[in-house]
Amino acid sequence: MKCPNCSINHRRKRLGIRCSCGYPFSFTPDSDALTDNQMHNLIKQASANNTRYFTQESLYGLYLKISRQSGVTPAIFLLGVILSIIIGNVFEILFLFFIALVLGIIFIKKLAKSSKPVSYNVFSSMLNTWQKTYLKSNYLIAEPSLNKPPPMNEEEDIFEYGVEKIIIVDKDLTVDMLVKNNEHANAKALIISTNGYPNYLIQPLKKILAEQPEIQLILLHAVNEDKHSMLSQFKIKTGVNFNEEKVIDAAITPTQISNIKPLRYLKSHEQYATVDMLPYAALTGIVALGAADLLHSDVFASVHIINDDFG
Amino acid sequence: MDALFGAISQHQHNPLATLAAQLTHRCGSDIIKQSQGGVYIGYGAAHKQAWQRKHHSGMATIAGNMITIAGFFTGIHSLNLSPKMVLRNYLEQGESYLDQLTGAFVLAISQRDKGILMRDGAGQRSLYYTLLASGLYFATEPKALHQLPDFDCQLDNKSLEQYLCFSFVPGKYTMLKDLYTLPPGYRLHWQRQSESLIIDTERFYFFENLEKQQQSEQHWKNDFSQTFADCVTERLPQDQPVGIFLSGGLDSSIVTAEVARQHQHPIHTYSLHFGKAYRHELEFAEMVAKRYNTVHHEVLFKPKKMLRRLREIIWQLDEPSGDPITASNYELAAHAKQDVNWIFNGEGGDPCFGGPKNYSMLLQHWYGGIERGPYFREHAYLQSFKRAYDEIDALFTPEFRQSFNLEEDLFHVVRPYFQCQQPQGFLDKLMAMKKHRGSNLYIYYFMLYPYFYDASFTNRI
Repeated sequence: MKCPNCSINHRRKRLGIRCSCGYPFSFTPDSDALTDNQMHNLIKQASANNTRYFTQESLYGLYLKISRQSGVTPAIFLLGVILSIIIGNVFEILFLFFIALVLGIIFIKKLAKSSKPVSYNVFSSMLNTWQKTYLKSNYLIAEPSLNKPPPMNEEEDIFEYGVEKIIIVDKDLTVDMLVKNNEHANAKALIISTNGYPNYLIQPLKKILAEQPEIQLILLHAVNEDKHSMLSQFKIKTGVNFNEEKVIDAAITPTQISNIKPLRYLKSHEQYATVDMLPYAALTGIVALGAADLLHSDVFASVHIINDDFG
Repeated sequence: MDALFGAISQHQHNPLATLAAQLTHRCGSDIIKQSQGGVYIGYGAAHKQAWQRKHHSGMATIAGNMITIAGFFTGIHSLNLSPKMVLRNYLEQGESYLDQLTGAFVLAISQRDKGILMRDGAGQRSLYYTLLASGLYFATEPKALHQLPDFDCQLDNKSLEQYLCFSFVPGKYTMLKDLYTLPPGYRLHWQRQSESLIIDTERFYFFENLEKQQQSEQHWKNDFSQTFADCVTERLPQDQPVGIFLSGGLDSSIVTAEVARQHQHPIHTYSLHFGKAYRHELEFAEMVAKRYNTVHHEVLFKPKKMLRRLREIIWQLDEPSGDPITASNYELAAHAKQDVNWIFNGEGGDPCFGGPKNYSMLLQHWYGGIERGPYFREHAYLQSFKRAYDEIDALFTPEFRQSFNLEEDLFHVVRPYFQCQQPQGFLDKLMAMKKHRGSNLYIYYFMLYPYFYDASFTNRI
């Protein structure tokens, strides 16, 4: 077990071990799907080396993607076993049979590790455990934190203009993730959830809609949400009634997950896949797209074109 | 563009030949020189400067007082100005007369033991200076000053940090130690006192103090149309074809429309692209070209070709410019030179009209619950530049990084714009910063066009 704090490798693999640097291990390779070091690396990647906020869903999406990729290594070992047996048999080289035996053992171990990824609930429980350690990530968004309105500004023209589109997302946490990472500013968008969160932006939203009736309206949501019910909920919470035809529906569907190769890592979770489970660059690429691009192309089909990368 | 250069020498040493040698790409060897009591001034007119305002620039003397002007003045009242008239008015009315001059110019006035260097309010022309033991030296391009025997070319670490974060070096500083630029709307006063030379700089142009007028939308439409048309009139050459860098966007398309309305001679339009497989706006440029019946050229930018010219581009720029379009604009200029001597473009639109980059700064203020440090706005502004601000710690070794002070070198440059009483509105504050940025960045576009007489004009609007 590799210590995520000081990188020392430990031979003993049991729960309760404490590294010489003082780090207490939370997981064991035999009973948990991830080691401490793997969780540490996963979070490091999701947070772009502690520079980017992420949600539990985005971390789980990354885990699913990496789990899918890790199936490649056992396949290489399997190939090695088969080749060693064939060549050893043809040329009667005993040594190659021995290599085949070693590779076979490694293959079985790797295969065991790369078995079906753990469920979201198991992963969530592991993350909770991790967040109790002193290596916990401050970039994990656990609850909405944008409730409080911004401080008053001396200038009165802060809301004079500023957005080119309105993006409505299905979860408050997605608003937090995008806004805390400054994606609203990059995309020149007012981002609000179907709950009307954050509610101090409802008035500015109404003003924008009155002044720019043709502004782009984009709905970004998970597989298990639908446009009609989201807009109904938005109306109840905010009093804003959108013409459904004018709202562009940017959603993930199970068909897309099945048909689009870069999205197949979500297959095991396809009924519950959320937008923050997409690779971050792909999600922000979609957020940055204009309505015209969203209308004229299959958004998620172009995910891999935008950037097939979590970085 | 024409060239102005000179020195206030402490040792009666005439440096004009050294300075002029680096400016021949602007004006050839056709240089006028004047000297008097240790003051040496040179002026070189641009090649074939045949247009209606060429008489604004040059040299004049009245009773031992000297004036040299490079560039031109704008505005209806300035049409008949000449260096002699400017000098006479200055001698009669004092320095406040100079405040009224508008246009794209730099000037030098000397009177016995004192004198003035001045740069226009929008910073359309540039003026660099250095104060050495042997005297004060100045030139429209710093490459002339680099050649002085006692000038020591040394990188300024603070400027490097600023350049990487802003994409230009703000204020009076440059990438080299002891080399300064006179900021837009500033005058430099020099005076000899016994054995020493004393200089100080003073800002005379405060665009932010212009009173806001409450007028109807129609009034502003008419006002803009008239001002815009005047700008084009003032810059059109007589009896010559002109070129326009036409991207197909709003700014350059409007310029094309106005030039086409006024100019009776052939108009060439040039659109750059990086290969048709890459995103481009060629179809829009073509539509504009067709509508205004221009001779349209689509110019393919090839990095291989640019690499061969890289040294030349750097030499022309003097100071690095962080705008990625710089090199490709140079290629476009080289191509256009085959057809025309005059180029128009849409540069300067954002500093005049806002542009899309204000959105980000406004939106930073919309959400609560976000941690706001004491430099929230400064931090947001630098982030919105999308240059190296976020990576500055990773770019340098810790030892080199220690020579920087983030607060002093970056935040305090931006802070006065946010904390000023005038202008009051946040958008106007952002616009004031854009003007500062524009005058620093766009000047390099002009520097890049050694072949052309004038490059841009929208800064005046």
